Amino acid sequence: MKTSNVLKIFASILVVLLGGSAVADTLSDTQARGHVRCGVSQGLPGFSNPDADGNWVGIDVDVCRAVAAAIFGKGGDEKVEYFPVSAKERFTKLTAGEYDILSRNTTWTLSRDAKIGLTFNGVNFYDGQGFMVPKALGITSALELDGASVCVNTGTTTELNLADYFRDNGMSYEPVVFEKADEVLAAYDSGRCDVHTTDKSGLAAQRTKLAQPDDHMVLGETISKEPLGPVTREGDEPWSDIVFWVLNALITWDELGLEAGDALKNTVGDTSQGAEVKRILGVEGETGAHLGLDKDWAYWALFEVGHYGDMYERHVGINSPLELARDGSPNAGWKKGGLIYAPPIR
Amino acid sequence: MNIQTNIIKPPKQDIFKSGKFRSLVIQAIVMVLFIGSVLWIINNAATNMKANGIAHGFDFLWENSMFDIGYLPFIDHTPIHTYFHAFIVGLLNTILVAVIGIFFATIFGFLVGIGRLSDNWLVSRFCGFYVEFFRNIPLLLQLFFWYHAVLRVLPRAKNSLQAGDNFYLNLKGLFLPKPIPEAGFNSVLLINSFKGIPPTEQYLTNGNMFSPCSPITSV
Repeated sequence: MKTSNVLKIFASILVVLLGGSAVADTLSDTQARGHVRCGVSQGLPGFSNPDADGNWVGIDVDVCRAVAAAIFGKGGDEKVEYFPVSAKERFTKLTAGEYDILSRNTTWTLSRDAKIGLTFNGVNFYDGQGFMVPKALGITSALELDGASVCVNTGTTTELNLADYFRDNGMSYEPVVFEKADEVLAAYDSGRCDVHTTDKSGLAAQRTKLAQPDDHMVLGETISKEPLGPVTREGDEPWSDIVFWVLNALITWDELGLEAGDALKNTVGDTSQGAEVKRILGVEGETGAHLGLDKDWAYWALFEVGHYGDMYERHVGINSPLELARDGSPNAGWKKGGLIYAPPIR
Repeated sequence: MNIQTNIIKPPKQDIFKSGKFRSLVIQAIVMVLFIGSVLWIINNAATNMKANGIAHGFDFLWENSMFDIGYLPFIDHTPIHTYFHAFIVGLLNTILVAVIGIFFATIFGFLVGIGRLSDNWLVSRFCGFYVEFFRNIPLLLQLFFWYHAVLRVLPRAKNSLQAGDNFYLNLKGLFLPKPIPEAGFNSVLLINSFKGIPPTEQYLTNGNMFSPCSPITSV
């Protein structure tokens, strides 16, 4: 390392350490910068994954796109810079300010919320941990896994749930841990371990990446609750509010059963619509001003990204490669017996 | 006797003018300033982290780790053991790998070194080539090579390479019987602990697993 580099690093450390506890104003910084900075996974199909053209797509990516559209208006959904991060370093980089939203299939837990300075802003996918095994093992239940070697991603709730599950059931196992999700999958695919465990949506996504997807099956057991959602830094409530309410505007539109996208152009001029619709679209009320945004914030989020149901069906739904049916799952709207529910926007 | 009393003593020096004293004072001041600024930086970082709601310090070392460790040749680790305990396990595993590495590297290096001095042209050039070729390849790259290119082509557990009844080599590692000298000690027990799997994939419950992969992934 050159001396100048050492000096630069030392200087930047000094700046970080000596800089007083400045009042964070992520919204102003974002507006000045002209784009939203968004931490995503290193490639999890359906959630955040680069497509054939190198564009990030997925249900987690859509949250960042919607926030950007709410801030920047028309075409704003493209004003996002993506930062792929591993599970282990995702929180450190968020609190260090490398990006402002962490939308990376991250489970909401007490210790993450209270101990490491994070704010969780709602849930965009209710998941649960499962196990994938080669069909050749002839196993039908996770309770038959005593003595197995299990590939798992370190620094995740998955790793901890795994320990809980085997301990609670009096079974032994050999954890084989990796830092990257891709390494976990490669190790499982090569036969280094008997079992691959992560959130069930992740298993569905990663199964499609295996050499012989049909030779593997996901066991029926769901061993944990994994509410996944966008995360922001603690201490910047206005910014966290924006992320929370943008996500919930998308959910509300899904609850209303209305079409998003281009159809909004007609809805916004339709005087026969209810008060709630008018409020969300910014025709009436001041919801945007309370968030520090323009009054048509939700309109542009819905216009560019679509509502929650659109997001779901596009990336993880029954017609996507993940083939996760929404009806009957916790991700159905609350009116259909699911858990997706938004507080009132007023 | 008289001579001693006549020795001319050097003039008494003023202590504040001595070079030694001056340099000591300067060093002490620099030291105090340095320690003071480090403490100030630490305090500042701690204050800012606290203001941002981030836990800091080393108290977490005494919390339950809540995770398992795959490779435990010396001491046991369960999720209720602390992070500090997990750290000790990692240290011990590192030491084990280091000791094994030093042992074999010493023998191997000695042989190659002797070989380089050989009168046999082929042997000396081959050893010379080996040394020159590997000397500047980063260790991390060599680790990647061994883990991803060499060990990955080992057979799966079902098709383990087998020597005798108790030695298995497969993707998961090298499985050896662990000698436990007890009454009737002659072989190692195989227990069917994993339903529906052919015998070769069962675990040697008394076996000491030396896995070339585990230290990399679990330390």
